[in-house]
Amino acid sequence: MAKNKSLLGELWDFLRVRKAWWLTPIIIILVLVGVLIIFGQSSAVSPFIYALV
Amino acid sequence: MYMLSVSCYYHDSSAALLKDGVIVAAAEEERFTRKKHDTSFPINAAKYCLESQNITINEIDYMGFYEKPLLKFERMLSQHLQMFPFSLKTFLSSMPSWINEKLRVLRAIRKKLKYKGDVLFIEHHLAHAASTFLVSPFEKAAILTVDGVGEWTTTTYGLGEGNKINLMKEIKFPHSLGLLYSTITAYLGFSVNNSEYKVMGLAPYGDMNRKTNSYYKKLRRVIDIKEDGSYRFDLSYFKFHYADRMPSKKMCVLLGGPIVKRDSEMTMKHKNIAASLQLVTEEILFKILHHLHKVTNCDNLVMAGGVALNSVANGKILRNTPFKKIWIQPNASDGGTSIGTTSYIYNSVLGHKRNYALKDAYLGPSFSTKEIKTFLVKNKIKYSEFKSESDMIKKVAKLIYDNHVVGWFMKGMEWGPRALGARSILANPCNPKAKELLNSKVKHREKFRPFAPVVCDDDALTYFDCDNPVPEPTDFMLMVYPVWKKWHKVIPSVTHVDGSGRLQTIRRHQNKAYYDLIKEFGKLSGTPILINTSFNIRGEPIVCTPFDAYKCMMGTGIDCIVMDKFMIWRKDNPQDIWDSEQYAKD
Amino acid sequence: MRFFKGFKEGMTCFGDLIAIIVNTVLLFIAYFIGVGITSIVAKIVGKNFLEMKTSAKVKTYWSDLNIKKRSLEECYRQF
Repeated sequence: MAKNKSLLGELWDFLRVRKAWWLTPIIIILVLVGVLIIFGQSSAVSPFIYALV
Repeated sequence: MYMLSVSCYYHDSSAALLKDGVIVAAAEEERFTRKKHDTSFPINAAKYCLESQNITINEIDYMGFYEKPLLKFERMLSQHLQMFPFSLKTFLSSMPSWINEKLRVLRAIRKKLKYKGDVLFIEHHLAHAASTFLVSPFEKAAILTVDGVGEWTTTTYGLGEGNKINLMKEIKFPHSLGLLYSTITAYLGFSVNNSEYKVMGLAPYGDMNRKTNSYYKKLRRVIDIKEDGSYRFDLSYFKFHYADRMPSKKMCVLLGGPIVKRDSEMTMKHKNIAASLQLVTEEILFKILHHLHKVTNCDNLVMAGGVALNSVANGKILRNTPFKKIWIQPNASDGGTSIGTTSYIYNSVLGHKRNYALKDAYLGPSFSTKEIKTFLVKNKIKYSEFKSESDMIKKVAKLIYDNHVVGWFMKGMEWGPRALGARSILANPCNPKAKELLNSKVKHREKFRPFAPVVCDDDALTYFDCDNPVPEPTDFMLMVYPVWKKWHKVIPSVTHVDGSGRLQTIRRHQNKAYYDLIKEFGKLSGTPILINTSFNIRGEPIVCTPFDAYKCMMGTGIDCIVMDKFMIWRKDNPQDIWDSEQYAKD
Repeated sequence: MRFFKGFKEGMTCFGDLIAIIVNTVLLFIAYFIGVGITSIVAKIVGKNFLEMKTSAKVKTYWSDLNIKKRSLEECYRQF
């Protein structure tokens, strides 16, 4: 069984364990922006993404 | 049990393979991609590691990564939160790479290497500490790591014993001796993370006296140093924590002028600034080392991190601190962390006893006689073959004695930034014009930079004022020592302006042909020393394959290459239109 | 054929350019909302994210690290 967690799981554990609550807003926003950026790089979905922004 | 580790995405990516506790292969990605200080995922280096043992990725028991990406991300976000709104530009430029690759290391490892297992993450400075202690000859040693920055840490010290490492204290970003060195390197118009050693080479031209060098006093205003060597910056002199420039305007005012333009002639002022930086670096290092000795009560010292490549300071450690023995691994900066990661997982995390000490740096790709011959034949390269090794040694020694510039391609490629007799260019150090000859034919270096000598370990004390016994890091060209005065005029081209030399010592068991060649040259010249400089074109990494070596020779003025048992002359082969200078960047 | 190849390459370049612009705009917004607001609040309550100051009073700048042994479980984590 894989013991490495997913990135989102890691980020949540990181905020919780390190008590890095100050970073919560920017991390949430970056996750959302990151999803758009990463999906935006896939040419198949980019027209839809850009149409939304 | 096999373990593979990688380091990447910042500078000098690398991969290292460990088999049952022994480092069996390690290489930096730049040597394969031919892109100096390549930061990309070390796919080629990793493939080399696997191929060297004829294994596939499925046989790897554990994979390691040299950093904790989220801790670094935390530091980076903290910088932006602290420096808002001044950090906008760096936020916009750095964030895409965080989103696309730096936060997705796990995905990259699994996808690029087709690896299905788990990945273990080790803190950056722990990887540094392990990279030097766990492969050192010491059972117990004080550990010092100093570099630019890892996740948060810039400097740590601790104690290693058996297979355990205890890192006790740290200094955190933005206070960093490595970044101070880089800031002044940038101020002097050199490239950061690349040319720090040039500033070190420039320093002896300046005033190395604390009392009379006015820039030393100025630089001391920038940094508050405590008695135990711990330090902090006055951050108003710096911009690296929020901008893409390192020194601030205040630093420029302090040093009396704007940032020096690239490739400018170095004036006395610049030389004194370089000297003051070296003085401050040594002051901090020696204070830390005194404190570290007091805390650990251990006479052995191991060091790692980019600052541990400061061979001038290293050469003074045993004379200026209570430590009696020193060891530094050949790839002390970030590239070397991949061997630290594998060793730490094997020895410290899994608890295996140490069964390995790194004795030479030839961990990179090597080529058999058959492979080299195939390459030469296939490419219709004219070559001759030596009758025997002793025939080769006699002929090559004579060529060097007659002031030919010889490319020397033997054994596995070196691990670390220095050519150590596997991918070297060799020349006659007794020739007063050797420096000009090498510069005009191959290296095109800045005039102030010296060339380095290589000497057999049993001759080192005759020519150099070394510590006795000669410390092992000299095998990796990591210690600078004074050349005895009576030899200054005998080996002028490897004696620096202050009478020092960055020597490499070679032990016969490490590289028999290289050792014998130096001895044979000694029979001819009376001085068993050679100039050893890296086998590369300016701006390119050291050569890796026979093709790289051949291409380098044809594009420069190297007279011939000795490759295994073959001799290839430049004049015998059609000279390519390959002009090294048009590719030279640094 | 050459026309279509050139057209396709041109569209790819155009797409990349659009992607860079959109990404920059997104990150610009993230910076001013995510970083900006948090940073202003932190400044109001006096929170520092980096150790910025030197001090003549303290005897040392060393801080405790105390990494003694890492367990396998800790190494699976990315922090």
